[in-house]
Amino acid sequence: MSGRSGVSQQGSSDLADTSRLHLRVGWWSLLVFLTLGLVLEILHGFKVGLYLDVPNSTRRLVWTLAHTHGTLLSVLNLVFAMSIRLTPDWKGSSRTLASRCLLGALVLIPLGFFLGGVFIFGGDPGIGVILVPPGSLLLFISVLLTARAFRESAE
Amino acid sequence: MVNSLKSRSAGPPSWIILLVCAVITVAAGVLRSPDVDEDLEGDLPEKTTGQGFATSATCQSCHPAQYDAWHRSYHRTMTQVATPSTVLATFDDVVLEDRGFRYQFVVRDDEIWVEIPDPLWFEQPLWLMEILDPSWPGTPPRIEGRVVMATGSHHMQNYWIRRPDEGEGALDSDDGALIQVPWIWMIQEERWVPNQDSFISPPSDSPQGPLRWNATCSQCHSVGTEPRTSESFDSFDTRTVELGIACEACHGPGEQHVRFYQSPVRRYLRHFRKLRGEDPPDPTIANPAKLEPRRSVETCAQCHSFGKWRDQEGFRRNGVPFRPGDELDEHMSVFLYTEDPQDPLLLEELETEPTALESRFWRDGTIRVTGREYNGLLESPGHTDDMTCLSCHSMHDYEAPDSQLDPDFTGNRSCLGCHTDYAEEISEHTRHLPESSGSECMNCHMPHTTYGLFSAIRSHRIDSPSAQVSLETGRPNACNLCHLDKTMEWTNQSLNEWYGQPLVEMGEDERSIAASILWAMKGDVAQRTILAWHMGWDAAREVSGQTWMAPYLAQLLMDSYSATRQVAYRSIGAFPGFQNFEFDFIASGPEREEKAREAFQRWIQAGGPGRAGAHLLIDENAAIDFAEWARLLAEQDQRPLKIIE
Repeated sequence: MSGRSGVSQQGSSDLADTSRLHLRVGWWSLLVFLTLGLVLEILHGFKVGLYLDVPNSTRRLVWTLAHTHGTLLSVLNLVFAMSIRLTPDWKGSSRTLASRCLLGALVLIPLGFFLGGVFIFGGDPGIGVILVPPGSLLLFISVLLTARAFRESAE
Repeated sequence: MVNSLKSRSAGPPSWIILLVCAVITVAAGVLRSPDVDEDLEGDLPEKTTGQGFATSATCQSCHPAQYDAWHRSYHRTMTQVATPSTVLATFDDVVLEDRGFRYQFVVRDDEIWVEIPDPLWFEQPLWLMEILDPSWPGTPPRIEGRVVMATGSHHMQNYWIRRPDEGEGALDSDDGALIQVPWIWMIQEERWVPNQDSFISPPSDSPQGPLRWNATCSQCHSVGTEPRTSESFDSFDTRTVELGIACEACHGPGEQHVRFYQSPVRRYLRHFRKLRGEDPPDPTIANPAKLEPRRSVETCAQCHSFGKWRDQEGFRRNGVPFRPGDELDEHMSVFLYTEDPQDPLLLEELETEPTALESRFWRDGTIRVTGREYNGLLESPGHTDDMTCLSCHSMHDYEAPDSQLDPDFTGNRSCLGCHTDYAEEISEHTRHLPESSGSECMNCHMPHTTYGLFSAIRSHRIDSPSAQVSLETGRPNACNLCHLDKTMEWTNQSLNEWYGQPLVEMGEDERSIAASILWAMKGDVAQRTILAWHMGWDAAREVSGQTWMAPYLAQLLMDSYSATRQVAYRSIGAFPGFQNFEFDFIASGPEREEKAREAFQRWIQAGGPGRAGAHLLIDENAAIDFAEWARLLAEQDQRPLKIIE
């Protein structure tokens, strides 16, 4: 009984740690990506050609994508932090995997878009954009695992 | 409660309906071009991508920088759909009169309509038509047409209508031809001018016949146009890929290229090769920058030359047969000046336009109409070497859209890159101060001896000034086009002394009267017009003194050619005392004479000649040698010439 209780305590402690981690990462990354949005607005305000000129339209596109994806993934981290508290039965290993995938996606997707805009090939983003597909896969896995956890908890 | 549930289950929730409506509205707005209405589209050439074309809209997504440079160029706007945003002229309630006929333009609900005498009526002389067709009307019927396309956006803009349908009074019902509104809009002056007065064209009391876009202008002012002329050449079912001179005019059809590079792997492999410094020609598309020099030049020459497609029938059906990378000669006979024409295509051209050669060429074979630069290049020494149009011009990285010069090759840099011997001590070669206009390579080797668009334009025959050529062929030399106050004998002596050119035996006039005056007074219309332009050229006015030129420009205000008068008017406007001088180059003869007299008076009031001398036919007291003046005018070359760019 005490062993089970220990495991349970351990599980709820992990859950709380994971939740806190996502809250911490979510809020800080939200700050980072909102700051990026502010920088992009400044580039608009001062009509910076490097960002706004037609030949640089690819840079504009991918940096905007970096900002929006980063912001949304930050919010998604906050949502994830809340969600796992609603699914205490979610198996630890699956939850850990979903958590890590989400954290990986938060890094890879916006970073890929951002780096893809640093050096561009005309209408194609630079090689940094190669980070986006694995990031998207991680995001897909994380969302899938989370959705399944909710389905199982409903059953 | 039950009722409420029933009403809810009767149909989808209102928010879904609203969402669907919003999506449809947005989609309709996105998919439908906001500027082109369906009636207008019906009058335009039908769109096609039949011969493997992709259109510039497709190129944009991968080549935004190149697309942007092209979009800012005058190539793009060479033909546009006529919409409120593309039309530069004022059409609202405009009534114009020319040569006894009335032309009326109106705007109705953003649609531009013109009511004009049917241009077809002017195509053949009335006496001939009365013999051929007894029902031919004695006066031109009036037709109404909607303006559907506009050509040009830099100096002038002209407009095109589709002929009205049968039963609407026209001599011929809609035959698919897009015919030119016979007035052009001069952008700088913001005024309407009869089309025939905008070219160097022999004075005529009668309006000219219609110009049809389908099988003439379309070949260079659009991409992939198939005129699809009927076998009897009297109707058109024209299709076009794109209006204006777009990407595929210079790069060839791009469909295969687009298909090949749809794969991101292929695109990135190519990007990485470029990063490694490898940039081989791409077999899926032509790139004039990577074609061998001759083929590269010929890409531009498909339009910038004077010639004719060898397979005329094929051209009338399928359009331009040349594709960038092809050998131009396989498809086109480029006409060079000759006094003994043998080329059957040239003979055919001369049958239609007997003065085609003497109008377009100086007698030394140099082309003198703008837009035909390839002909000039063919006469230049070294044109078979590595020099191409892109040695000086850039289509995607240019300084200004006027000339599209490569910013790395402006001024003397374009020449000194190869002619390095002259770079260090240029004055030793030019005999002019290094910073002066006389040390600018192009002023001596590419003088403004080409005419077009009310302007003298640099010749693309790159050669050296020669008094002998000027004397024997009439082509003004660079020395006398800047030193307007000097005689041709002065040039003769200078070129002999500086460069060892053989001395030429000059006539009495060439020894005693400034060459500019001889060309302006005795010359043919091309010489007169080019001189009128040079009298307004800053470089020439700086070295030649300027006020003595005003009487000659006043004389040119009375020239029989309207374009020459306008060029003279633009030049005289920069002289002291002429700032608010107004002159209408298409006003009646007596009105023009009156204004010319006023110009003389203004010149006297402004202080007279400034520089004087017997060689200028003016003494210090502003007294003009009218006897000599009259003699020169009496000797003026009055050959009717037509310089159509």
